[in-house]
Amino acid sequence: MNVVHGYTLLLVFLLGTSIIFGPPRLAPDAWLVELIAVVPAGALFLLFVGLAAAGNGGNLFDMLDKAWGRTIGRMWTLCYIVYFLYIASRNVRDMIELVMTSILRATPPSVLIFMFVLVIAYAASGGIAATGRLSVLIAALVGFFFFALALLLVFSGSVDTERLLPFLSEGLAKVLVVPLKSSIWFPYGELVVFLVFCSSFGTARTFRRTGWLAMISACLLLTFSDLLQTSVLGMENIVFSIFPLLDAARMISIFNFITRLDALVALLIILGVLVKCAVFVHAATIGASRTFGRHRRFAFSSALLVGAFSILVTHNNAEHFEEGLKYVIYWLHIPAQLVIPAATLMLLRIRYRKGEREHEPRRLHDRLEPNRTRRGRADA
Amino acid sequence: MTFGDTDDLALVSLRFCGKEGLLCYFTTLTSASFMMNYVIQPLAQASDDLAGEDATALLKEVRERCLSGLSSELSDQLHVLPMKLGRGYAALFAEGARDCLLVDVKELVTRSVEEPTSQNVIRGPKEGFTESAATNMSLIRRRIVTDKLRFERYEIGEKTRTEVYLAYIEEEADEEVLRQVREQVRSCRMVSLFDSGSLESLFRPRGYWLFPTVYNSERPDSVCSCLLDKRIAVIVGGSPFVLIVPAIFRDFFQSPEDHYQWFLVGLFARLLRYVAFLLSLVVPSLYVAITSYHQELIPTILLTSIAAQREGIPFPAVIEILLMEAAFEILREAGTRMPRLVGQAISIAGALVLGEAAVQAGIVSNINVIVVALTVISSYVAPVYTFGSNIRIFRYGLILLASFTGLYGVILGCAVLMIHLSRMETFGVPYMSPLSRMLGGKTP
Amino acid sequence: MTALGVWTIASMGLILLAGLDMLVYGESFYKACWHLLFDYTHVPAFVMIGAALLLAGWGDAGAAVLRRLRALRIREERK
Repeated sequence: MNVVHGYTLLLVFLLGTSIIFGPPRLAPDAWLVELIAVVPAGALFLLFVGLAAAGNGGNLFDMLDKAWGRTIGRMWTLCYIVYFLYIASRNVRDMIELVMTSILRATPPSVLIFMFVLVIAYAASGGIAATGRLSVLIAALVGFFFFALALLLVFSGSVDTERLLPFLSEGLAKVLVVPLKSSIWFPYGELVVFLVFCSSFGTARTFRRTGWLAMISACLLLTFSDLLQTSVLGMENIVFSIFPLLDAARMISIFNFITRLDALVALLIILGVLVKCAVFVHAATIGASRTFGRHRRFAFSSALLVGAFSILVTHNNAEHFEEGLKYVIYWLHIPAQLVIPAATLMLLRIRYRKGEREHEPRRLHDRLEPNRTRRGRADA
Repeated sequence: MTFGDTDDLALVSLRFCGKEGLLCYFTTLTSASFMMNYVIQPLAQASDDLAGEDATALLKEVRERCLSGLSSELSDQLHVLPMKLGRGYAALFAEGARDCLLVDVKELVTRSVEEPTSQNVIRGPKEGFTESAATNMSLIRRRIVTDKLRFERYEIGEKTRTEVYLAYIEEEADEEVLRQVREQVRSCRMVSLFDSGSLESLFRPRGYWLFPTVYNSERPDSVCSCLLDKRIAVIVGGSPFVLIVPAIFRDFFQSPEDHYQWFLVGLFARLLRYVAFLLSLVVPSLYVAITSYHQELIPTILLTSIAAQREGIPFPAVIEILLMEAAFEILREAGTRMPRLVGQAISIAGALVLGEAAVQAGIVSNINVIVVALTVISSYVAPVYTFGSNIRIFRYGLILLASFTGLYGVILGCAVLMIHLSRMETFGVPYMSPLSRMLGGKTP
Repeated sequence: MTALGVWTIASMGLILLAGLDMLVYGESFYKACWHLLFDYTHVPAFVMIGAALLLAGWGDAGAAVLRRLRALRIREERK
């Protein structure tokens, strides 16, 4: 995969939904939160890069197997597969909520989800390189429409920078703590899924550079988006708004001619979520075919599972948000993005820093393994 | 003999160097004056001091002395004789000789080099390829003066034995692509090959039928710039259309004119073509989606006007659009098949009368006619005709999707198209890659 | 194998969802599962899970049939 493809893939991945949802509402001056969040997020990313470097070109699942041994490694692999599919289904749910709010109000959501899932399955059945090329197109579209929206907002006089004041009304401390609570896990922490593809980026060094570049660009764009949303809606209103970009887009009115541009925002989120889910389903497919035997049809089945989960996830939008802000972070994001990668990295360092002594027993183990995998291959 | 009783096989007996000889050739593949001046007269005037020698050696002498300007070969295999005669060779038999002398006397009547019928430019060379492969190769050879230009000859078609030449520049063309192309051409089993279009399916990767992966051109300057751009050209004898592989998405939106004018004009023209292509795909489905489901997206004044127009129309937007599209397809097809003189009348009458009358009759609305007309005109903007023909099917799919799920369906349909484009690869080159030296960009 | 895989992943996912529901609503695991499974609005989801299983199983069955045919053909050729 090309460097440019990798960069745009990461960028679209990071921007995908967060450009619509705007800043976390846990503190005022949310745009500052966004700007500061890149620092702890960068630290988390360094952990991922370290893991990629220690993995020597294997992907996340290889690393898990190496560090934890085959059985526990398999178990973690399964957990990660379910985790990726779960996040994908949350994203699909977000998108469906927005689509149902803005453009298609009366269609049953299962129909919309099913159609979307078919598209994801088609995207995921190509390789990650194809998704990289797709992300270039989508990045161009998303960038174009986003800046068009911004321009139209400026022209329609909805932008009032006074709404950004008072600055730091609740103190700096709160602003510094909030990123640790939410921004680092979403969207930056989701980059853990790219550990599955780190070999297609080339070396760990390329991965690190591309990742840094993408994170900084995403941070700047998100800050800009937050500034825009806050200056259009105002700090009090943004707390009550579910989709700030949508509400901001509804304010556009130029000569009473160009109005009601909800559909543009819907376009943005559909394309963004498409790329995100394609990446997640890719990762899940790779993991599943490692564990259960090589089969390309896993892409379609995984995508259908994503669709099923997105219906089952929550009953209504309010529950969806509360789940997302509190429980998912503590119980899913922190373990999967921080605890397990850190533990894996430590285990890899310990096991392989001890040197050659660790290698002999493992080689015997490897010699026993080919029989098992050969049988596994015949079953596939 | 195998040729039976055909009228154009000439068997001329002549006497040269004291020996009896027989000259066989097809009169339709050569011209009488050529035979007279270059073969029969030199033979008849061959000096008699060659007489008395062994017949085979005599043939060799004759070949070197009298017929030295023509390409010839000695052969003692009779089974290649029908094929060689069919290729425009003349067979000279001498009394007592085991071998026969095959002389290339081909003089075919071909079309002279004219302006190409498709892909016209206003500013630029006006030479086009012809049906003769030799002329085509000459048109290429005279433009690229490098010793690295290669032509490889193949024959395809059991009955027609059409000559197919692969042209490439040795350092430019990718080895892997070349190998794959050679393999495809060698393994081709066809009975007949009359036009390069039949070869296009040979080079198409399986499952990618929506977009063409082979570019064809009638212009030598196009083909030459492609050759310099790491491509491989396939020249088919009997067809003025030269194929170029691998072809990527950008190629179908470039016209040679873009490079002969100021670069901003070319850039603007190319941007316009992309936009027109996009319009031709989505405008009908957007119309259906917005008027059926998302009326709030239309500005209020326009909305009242559209609502007023659609007041008395009995059909929903989908059926309207499909009716008009079907009518235009019929018109287009009829216009292509009609003899040229009558065709003009059909197109003008059809467009005006059909559109106007249909609106007056209350079958379709005005806005509908505008939408369909815009679509049809935009679809002709792609410089290569074959590009637009497959994508029409996609347009109908989008219209149906729009009628079921509105804008969401249109967006998903376009996303599917984008995914398809990103996945396509021809000969290992991704379809959407910016592989173009002409813009000064480097191949990734 | 793929059908087994799909089934495993699906059931693990359902357990995860039930667990999260348990946390959010503070009810017991049994109740959370009950609400997840026996809710008529969730029927499309289970249809999709069924389709995923069917697709995987079909692929498996198809592969098995092809393998059998190939083995038969090899045996024939050896004769």
